[in-house]
Amino acid sequence: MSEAIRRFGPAAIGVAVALYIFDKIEMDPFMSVVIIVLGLAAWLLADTKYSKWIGVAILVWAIVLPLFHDSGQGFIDDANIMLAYVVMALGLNIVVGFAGLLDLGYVAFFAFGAFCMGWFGSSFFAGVNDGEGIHIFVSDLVSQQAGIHANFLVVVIAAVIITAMAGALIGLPTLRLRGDYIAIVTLAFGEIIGRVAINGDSIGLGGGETLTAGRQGITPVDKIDLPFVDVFQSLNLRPWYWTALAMVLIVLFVNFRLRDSRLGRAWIALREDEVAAASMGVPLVRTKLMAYATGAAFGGISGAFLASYLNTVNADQFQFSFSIFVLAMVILGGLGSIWGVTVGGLVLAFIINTFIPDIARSWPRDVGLDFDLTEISFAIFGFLLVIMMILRPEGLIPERRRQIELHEGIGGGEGTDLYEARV
Amino acid sequence: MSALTVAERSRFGLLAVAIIVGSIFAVMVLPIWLAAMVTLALIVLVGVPYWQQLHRSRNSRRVFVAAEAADTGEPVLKVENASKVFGGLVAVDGVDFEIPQASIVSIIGPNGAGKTTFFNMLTGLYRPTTGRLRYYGIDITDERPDVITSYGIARTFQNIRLFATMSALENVMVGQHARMNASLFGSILRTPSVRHEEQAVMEKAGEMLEYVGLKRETFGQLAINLSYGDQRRVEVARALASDPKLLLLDEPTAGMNPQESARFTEFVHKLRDEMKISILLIEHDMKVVMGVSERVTVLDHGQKIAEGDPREVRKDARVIEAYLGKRESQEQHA
Repeated sequence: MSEAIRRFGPAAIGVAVALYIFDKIEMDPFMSVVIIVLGLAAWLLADTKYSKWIGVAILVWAIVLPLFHDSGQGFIDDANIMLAYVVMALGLNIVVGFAGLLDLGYVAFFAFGAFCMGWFGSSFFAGVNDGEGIHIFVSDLVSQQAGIHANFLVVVIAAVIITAMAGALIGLPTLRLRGDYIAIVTLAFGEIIGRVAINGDSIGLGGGETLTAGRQGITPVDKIDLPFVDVFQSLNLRPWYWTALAMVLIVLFVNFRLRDSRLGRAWIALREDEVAAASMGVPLVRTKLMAYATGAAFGGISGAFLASYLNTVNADQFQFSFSIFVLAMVILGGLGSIWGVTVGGLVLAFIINTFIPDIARSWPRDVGLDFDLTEISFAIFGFLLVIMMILRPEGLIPERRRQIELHEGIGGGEGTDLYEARV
Repeated sequence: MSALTVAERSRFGLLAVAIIVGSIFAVMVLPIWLAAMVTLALIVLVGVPYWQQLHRSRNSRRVFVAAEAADTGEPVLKVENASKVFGGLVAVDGVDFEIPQASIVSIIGPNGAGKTTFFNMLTGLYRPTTGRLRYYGIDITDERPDVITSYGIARTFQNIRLFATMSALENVMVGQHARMNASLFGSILRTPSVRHEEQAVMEKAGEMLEYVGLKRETFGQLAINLSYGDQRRVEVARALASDPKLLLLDEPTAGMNPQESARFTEFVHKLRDEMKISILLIEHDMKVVMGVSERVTVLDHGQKIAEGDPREVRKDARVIEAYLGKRESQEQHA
C-alpha cells in the first residue's frame, strides 16, 4: 500500500494541480484530459519503443490545441509567449548546455532580433527614401507607409545574420577565458546592449533618425506577413501560435541534428577538456564561435517574432533579469537536455507569465496579507531555483552526461580537483 | 602556411569578378535596396560554399604536403635549439632533437627534467620561447594544436584525459575531427555526404578500438566507467584515429604491471610496423625503454645530456649522475 502511495502519490497530486490550473486558464475540458493522459503516458513510457508515438501524439495535440480555444486572447496569448521563450531557451541550450560556455548576456540577442524587426518592419525610420519608405515583399496594407517595411521572412533572415555576427563578436573576447570569467564578459555585453537600447534615442543616425526609440518603444510594428496566407491579425492569434510552434519545431530539429554531429561532439569534448579537445584536432576558436553564433541566431528569431507579436520594441524589455530568466529555463529543465529545456522553458514561462499574475495573484490577499503575488514574483522564481538545486540539481529531465558529471564529480576541466580538496 | 595555389587564386578572382559584375548589373536595373540584397545573396550563396571548399582543401593539403615531404627522407620531426622559459624558470633549454622516419624514440629523465613541457611544445600547447620545430621539413613552430594534429602529430596524456562522459566510441570519433568535413549547415540538413562521413567515421572508430584490443561490448560504455587499462587503450585509439605520422605517448605504461608493460612493448612495435608511423615515448620504466626504443634521449634540468643507443646511454656517466647523484656527494653521505 505504502509503495503504491509513494509511486502514484506524486502523479495524483500532479493531476490534481494540473486540473486546477487548467480550470483557471480556461483550458477546454477535453484538451485537459488529453494533456493529462499524454503527460502520464510520456512519464511512464519514456525511453521505450512507444516514446516515438507519444511524441507524435503530443505534436498533433499541440497543433490542434488553438482550435479549442478562443482565438482572441487568454490561453493562446500565453501559449504564444511560452513558445517564443522556449525557442530562446533552446538557443541558449546550445551555448550553455552543449558547449558549456556560461552566457549571462543572452538578452542581447533578444534585443538584436527585436530591433531587426523594429528597424526593418515598422515606420520607425520615417524619413527614409524621402518619406516614401522602402518596401520589400510586403502587403498593400503597409506598402503606403513611411519607413522600412520588409517581409517577416526577410527580417528573420536579417535577424539571424545580425545576431549570429553579434554572437561571434561577443565570443571573441571570451575565447581566452574559461568558466566564470566568460560569464562576466557576457554579462557585461548584455548590459551594454541594454544601455544602448535605452539611450539609443539620443544616438543620431543623420536625417533626424535615431538608433532606437528608448523607453518609449518602437510601435506599432508590422504584423507577420507570410506568403500564401493573409497578414496576421491582432484579434486572431491562431496563426501566431502555429508560427511560434513551427519555430519551436525548427529549433528542436536543429538541436537534435547538431547534438549528434561532428560539431556537437566537438562541443561536448570542449566542455569536458579543452586541452585534450585541441590536441585531438578540434579548433577551439571556430568551435566556440560556432556555438555562440548558432545559439544567438535563435535568440534573434525569437526576438523578431516577439517584437511583431507584442507590437512594440521597448528598451525596458532588455533587462539583465531576462538573461537570468532564460538561463533558469535551461538549468531547470536540465543543461544540455533538449526535451528537458523545452519543458523547463514552458514551465517557467507559464509560472512567470500566467500562473503568478493571473492565477495566484490574489492568494496572499485571500489569507489576509497586504500584498500581491506579482510583487514578489522574482522571489518565488528564486525560491523555485533553490528548491530545484537541492532536490534535483540535474534538472527536470536530465541529460545522461550531466547527471554523471554531477554525481561522480567530474568535468569542468582542471579546477575540479581543487574544489574537491577545499570541500 | 602555404598560400593559395595559382589555380585557386585565379578561380577566386573569377568569383570576385562574377560577384562585382552581378552586383553592378543589379544596381543598374533594380532599386538600390534590392541590388544590395542581390549582392549579399550572391556573396552568401556563391562565396560561402567556395570558402568552405577552400578551407577543406587546405586541411587535406596539410596531409598532402606532409606526405610529399616524407618521400624526401626528411626526419619526421626535427627540433632545433628549442627552449621554453616560464618567468625565471628555464624548463627546456636549447634542445636539439630528431625523430627519423619509422623509428621509436624515447625521452627519459628524472622528475622535473622538462619532458612533459617538451611534449607540450611539440604538440603546440606551449609555444617555444626560442627555436624551431620542423615536421618533415615544414615549419610548424607557430601553429595551433589542432593544426598540428591535422598535419599528422597525435598524442596521449600522462594523466589520462579522455572525454569522461562520452562513450569509448565517441571519444575515438572526436579523434577524427580534423579528418572530417561536415559543416554546420551540412550537419543540420544531414546531407548524403555528411551521412556517409558519419557512418565511415563510426566504423573507423570501431576498427581502431578493436586494434588496440578493446572488447566490442565496451564500445558503448562511457569513458569514465572503463577500467584503467581500457582507458589507456581508448586514449591510444583516439590518437591513432587522426591518422598520425607521429605518435607521442606520455608515460603510457604508468600504472601497468610487468606483464602489461611487456605486452605494451610488443604493441608499440606492431604499431610502427603495421601503421608505418614514428613513435616518441616519455617513459620511466627502464625495462620498457630498453625493450622498445631504438634511440634514447636523456633530459635533465631542461638540457639534453645524452643521446643514442639505449645500452650506451645507460652506461653514460652524466646519466648515472642525473639519476643517482654525484659520486662525491655519495661519499660525503657515506
